[in-house]
Amino acid sequence: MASEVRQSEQTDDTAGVTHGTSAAGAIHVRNLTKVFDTDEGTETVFEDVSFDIEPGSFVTLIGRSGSGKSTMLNIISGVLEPTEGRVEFEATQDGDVTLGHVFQSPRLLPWNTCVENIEYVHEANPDYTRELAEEYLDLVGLSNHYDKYPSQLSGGQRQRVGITRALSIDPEILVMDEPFSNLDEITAESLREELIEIWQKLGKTVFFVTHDITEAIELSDRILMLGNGEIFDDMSIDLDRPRDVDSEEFLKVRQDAINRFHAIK
Amino acid sequence: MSTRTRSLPTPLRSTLGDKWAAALISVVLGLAAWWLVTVIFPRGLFPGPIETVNASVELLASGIVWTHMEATFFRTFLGFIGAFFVGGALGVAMGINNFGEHFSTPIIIIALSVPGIAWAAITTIIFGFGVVAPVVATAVTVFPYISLRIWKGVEDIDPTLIRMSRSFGISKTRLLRRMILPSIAPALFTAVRFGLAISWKIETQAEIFASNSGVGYRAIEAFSRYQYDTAMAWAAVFVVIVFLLEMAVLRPLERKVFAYRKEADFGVL
Repeated sequence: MASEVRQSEQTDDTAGVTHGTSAAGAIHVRNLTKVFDTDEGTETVFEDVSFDIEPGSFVTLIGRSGSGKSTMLNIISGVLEPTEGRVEFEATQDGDVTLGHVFQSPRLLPWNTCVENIEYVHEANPDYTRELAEEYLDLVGLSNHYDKYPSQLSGGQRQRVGITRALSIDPEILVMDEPFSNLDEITAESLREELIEIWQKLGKTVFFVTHDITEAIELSDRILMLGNGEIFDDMSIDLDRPRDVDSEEFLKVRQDAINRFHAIK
Repeated sequence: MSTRTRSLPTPLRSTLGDKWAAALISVVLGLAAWWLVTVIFPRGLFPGPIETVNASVELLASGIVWTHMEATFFRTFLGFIGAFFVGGALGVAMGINNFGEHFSTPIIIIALSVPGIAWAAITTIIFGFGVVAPVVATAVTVFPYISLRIWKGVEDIDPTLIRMSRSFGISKTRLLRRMILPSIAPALFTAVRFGLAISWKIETQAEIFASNSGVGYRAIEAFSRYQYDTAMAWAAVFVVIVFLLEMAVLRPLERKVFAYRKEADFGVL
């Protein structure tokens, strides 16, 4: 169902980004350091951070506000340059890696309909058709809203369009920056369930950022905890899917995660 | 984005009744006030609505109106275009960086404080009689208003939408056409509307000094010959044409551009 053409968001001239040929969707973070210049001198956000993300896995980065998780996400998605180190992606056979971005707010063009908002990001795709946009909107249950404007949708529906837009370019990697934190809990919960269904169906690598431990456990294969300038814990979540947040096993894992998260001040 | 509507909540609004009725009432009240003034002040000296309409019909029938109307429209339009490009450029500069803002602010404050009539006098001294003086006077008087509006419009562009576009590798031309332009469209409309309205006022003032043709020139000429109804008729005919322009061009265009707005509010301002 997805288009064959990829947009080259990550270009070869971006410093610190290289392309391999196997295991498309894998991310290798190598010795990343980020230092910001401030008025009072320099501030190191994190230093010499390395980790690998398996293709097709759902990995969540959690950290307190100010821990640098947004900085990490921005470096991985190519918005920020690292001070040192590199991010490597393993590309598909045509040598491209595509990242689909989902933001905290949906960031839709208010003057464009749902279909037009999806069409907007297909500038470099000669095979784009309206049907493609409609198929993706169907995927998130927006079949009756193709030609509605964002102002005519609920907050949850808008974020669904945001997710759909990112998926529609058929990225190997989906980068999600606290996408559910602005939604009410009931809407957020149903979006989490939908996201997992879609992820299982389409098999993308997901790099997800949140400060919500419960959300992280519900969604992820693996949780990376960022704090004090390092990844201080790397936790695998082996619960069966779909996950019941009220089950005993879930609560046990959650308590374990909370203890490990609070191990660092 | 300045697309917020400042309308009152619905219950209070609906008591104000149908918008056409409201508009009609305001026109009728305006005409009544005008008529009242002619009754209070010495009869025959100040022409009322009916005398003005009669004089307007005569004016239209004589055919002389079109050459002067054309002259005034042409110069108003040229002056406005000049103001729009200079004002727009400064406004964009103010919107996108600090240097632009600090560079443009004194120019705009000074330009705003010089009366239009002074510019008319200055440009007549510099350029003499003809087309250039009123056009330049109009352009320099109007550009600061345009700058201020465009500045706010550019400032209101949502930076997160620009970042979103970058994340998806959108080209600069597509960004400009699909994101920047629709974003500043409300400011552009206000700039055009105010700009044209002020341009016409300055242009007709400037004609008094700097021209021997045009609506302003003819109105003041009629006034100096004590033909007050003719003077009023020149103004009235122009007002009707501007009104038709608003209803036939600006409004439909606006309706099309802002179709995406949930609660459409197509007020005059």
